Amino acid sequence: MLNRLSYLLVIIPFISLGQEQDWGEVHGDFNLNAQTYTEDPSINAAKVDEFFLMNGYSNIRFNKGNFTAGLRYESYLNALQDFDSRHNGNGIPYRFAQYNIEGLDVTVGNFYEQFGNGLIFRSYEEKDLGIDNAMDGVRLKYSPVQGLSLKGFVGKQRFFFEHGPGIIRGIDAELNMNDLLFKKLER
Amino acid sequence: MTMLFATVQITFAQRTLPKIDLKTMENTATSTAAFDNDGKPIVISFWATWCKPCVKELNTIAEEYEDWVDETGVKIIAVSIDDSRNMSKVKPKVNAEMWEYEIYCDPNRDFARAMGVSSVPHTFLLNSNKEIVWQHKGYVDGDEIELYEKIEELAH
Repeated sequence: MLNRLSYLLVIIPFISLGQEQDWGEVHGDFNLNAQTYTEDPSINAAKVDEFFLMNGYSNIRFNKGNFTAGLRYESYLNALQDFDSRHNGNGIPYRFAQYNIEGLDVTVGNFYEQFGNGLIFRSYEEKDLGIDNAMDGVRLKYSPVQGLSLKGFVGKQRFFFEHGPGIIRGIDAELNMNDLLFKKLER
Repeated sequence: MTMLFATVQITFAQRTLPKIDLKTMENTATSTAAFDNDGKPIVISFWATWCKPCVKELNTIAEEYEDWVDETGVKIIAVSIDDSRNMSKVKPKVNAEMWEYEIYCDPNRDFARAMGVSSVPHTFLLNSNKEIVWQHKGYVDGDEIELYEKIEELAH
């Protein structure tokens, strides 16, 4: 076990611009997880070369009507002990623009997605575990009738600050018989 | 190991609720656009079956929920961020604790991400225009008192 002090700072600023003219809204959050390490051979504490390690990130999100855009800046200078060291340096590994046109949802850039329960395809993030396999590409979502939803995407998968090899393409249909048949009868 | 937490909340103006797809406990599709309480306050609480403070918060509020509703008309919407593997535990948990909240599931954390939720519990308070006017991360005994004070401010 390591003998260390952990500092976790979470600052959540919310800024909304203009009420008279609709400039849209900008929101964000900031998360910093930093640790300092003390050598302690008596408890077999691992010897950590660096005195100070940190994972930090900030999300910024803009929304106006049907349009949303956002990005995340991540900083590993250097990544916390026991985090994959390929998390290295700074960058904006996540940025997207999204628009909803009468039920058709179009996303370009980075997105997370899950087909059904995720067994076949799941792109997600689990920051505490250092997991983030966001897609980078194009995604369409559409629900033609109540009870049927369609999704399609093409993209490359995130691999730390780069892309993994290959292209991933997927299409999914989710059919809910209750919604499709019985809701209509209620009307 | 010592842990220090600092949370700074700076709220200048209102934030509208983002429109995000969600699932019900029965795994049918719905959306945050369906959240409604006839102009009365709404509380959105992000939780997970594996999160002890979340369950504690929701249980503590459940003891007084009936009174809260009678006095302010507030509605509590509890959104579970349990992933697909744990999603099946949501309904049994809700039934076991006998919660009367509106429960939704956000298995890929889309709604949580759009709201800037990085850890649970994270609770938001919405006014009659469904704008976010207050939020709180974490839960310690007594936080529900502060939440109720904010709800009362909105209701009266």
